[in-house]
Amino acid sequence: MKDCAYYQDLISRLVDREITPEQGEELAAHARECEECRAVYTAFSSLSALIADELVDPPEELCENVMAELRRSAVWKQNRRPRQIRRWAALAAVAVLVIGVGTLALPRLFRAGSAAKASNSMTAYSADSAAAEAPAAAPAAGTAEYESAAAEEAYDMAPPIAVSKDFAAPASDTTKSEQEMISEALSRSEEPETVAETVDVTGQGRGKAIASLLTGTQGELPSGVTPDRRFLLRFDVDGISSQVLISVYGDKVFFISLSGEESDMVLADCTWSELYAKIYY
Amino acid sequence: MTEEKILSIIRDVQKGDVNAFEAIVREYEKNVYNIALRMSGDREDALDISQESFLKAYHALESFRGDSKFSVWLYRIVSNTCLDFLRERRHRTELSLNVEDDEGETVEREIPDESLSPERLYERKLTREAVQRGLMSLPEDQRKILLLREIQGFSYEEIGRVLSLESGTVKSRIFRARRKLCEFLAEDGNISPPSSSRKTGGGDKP
Repeated sequence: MKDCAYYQDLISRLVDREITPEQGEELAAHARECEECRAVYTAFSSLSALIADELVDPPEELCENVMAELRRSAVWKQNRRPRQIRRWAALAAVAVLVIGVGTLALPRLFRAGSAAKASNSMTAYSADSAAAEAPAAAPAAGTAEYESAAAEEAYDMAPPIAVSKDFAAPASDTTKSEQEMISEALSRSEEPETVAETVDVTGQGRGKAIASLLTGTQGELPSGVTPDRRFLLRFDVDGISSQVLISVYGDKVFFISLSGEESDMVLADCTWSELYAKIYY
Repeated sequence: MTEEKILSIIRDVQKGDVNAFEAIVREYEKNVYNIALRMSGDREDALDISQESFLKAYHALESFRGDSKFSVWLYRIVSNTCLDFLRERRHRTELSLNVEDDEGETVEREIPDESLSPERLYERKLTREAVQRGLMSLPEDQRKILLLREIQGFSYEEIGRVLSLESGTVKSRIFRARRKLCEFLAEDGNISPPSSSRKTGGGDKP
């Protein structure tokens, strides 16, 4: 004689329609004799109904938010389809930042172990897809330190160079303040998001170092404030890809997300160079 | 939507048609949201979890080869996102000194049903809340499995594939989850036919 636990296990399977006909008969025979198991059947099936029948409608913003976010990053997605173009676009997008922020030390974030000064003039590329199709081409001087092989490779792979001339501002323009340069570079980009990727970055555990530096100023995004400009930086550290999302608010405040997710944004509250200094040193 | 239709939409998305992804979101958002809602017990969290799941799915879509059902693939992402979220939330709660007002009431939407009296509606609301409390009292793995079964309607085998478990394990966890939920509700007193075996030892026979 099997005990009720056995039959109740079958009841659970019956509710899920995962029972064989033989088991069904066996259970039915027992249930005729056992009031408790009949009650369990009622309980299990009403529970099932309670959970499944009263589904709420998801808020409309769910789909809207998801699609808005995806459309924002669509340009990036388009660029990354073929692998080679992706690498080119990625490095080129870094160049946007390089040029956009002028002589700021950002590119050293990406410095590879044996970084060498790239002798090529770098190719600037606007994250704006319209610019990508524009035939205008102009080399821009980059002061960035890149691993030259990677830079050359990227250069070789570059499809007909597409440069937004807006981004071709010489990096030697030192008359402007850093902030002005950042703001200008930012205001030229129509896409709120510029995505960059470098091929490889050494420097183990840098993410953790960044995190510990920034946790001191941890804060939530102020409600009602939307980031006007954001950079998503993707890179590989020791073969593990990671990303950092950096936002600029107004002219001074930066938010940074070490996971690349907006939800992980923390307040850095400093100028770009201060942020860099924090990260780099 | 048929699996074929879904696969053809996915191919469009993979070719770069972002807008096509909306149909995927629309198809699954209700179940995803409800699973997230019952996993987290909080509307805001459920929204975050759902959005994040879809974004992750989109970005991982390149890797979807159609070897398994799309829903199985998708719910693996949802499931991981839920667990990450809950883990993080626990962490957050432990860290935060001031208790957030978490809008307490979680599942309180009234089902418009004019045939029911206000008393009956109120009763249903209580029941619904009790069920949610019961779900929250379950260990996360049991809760998740039960929801994949009840809300998404996956078979044991499909759940096994979502969570990398044997069907037998899925089966016994669902059973344990139901039994616990019944015990919880019996104690809570908000569900009429509880009479869970083990507690009372059958002493409630007439």
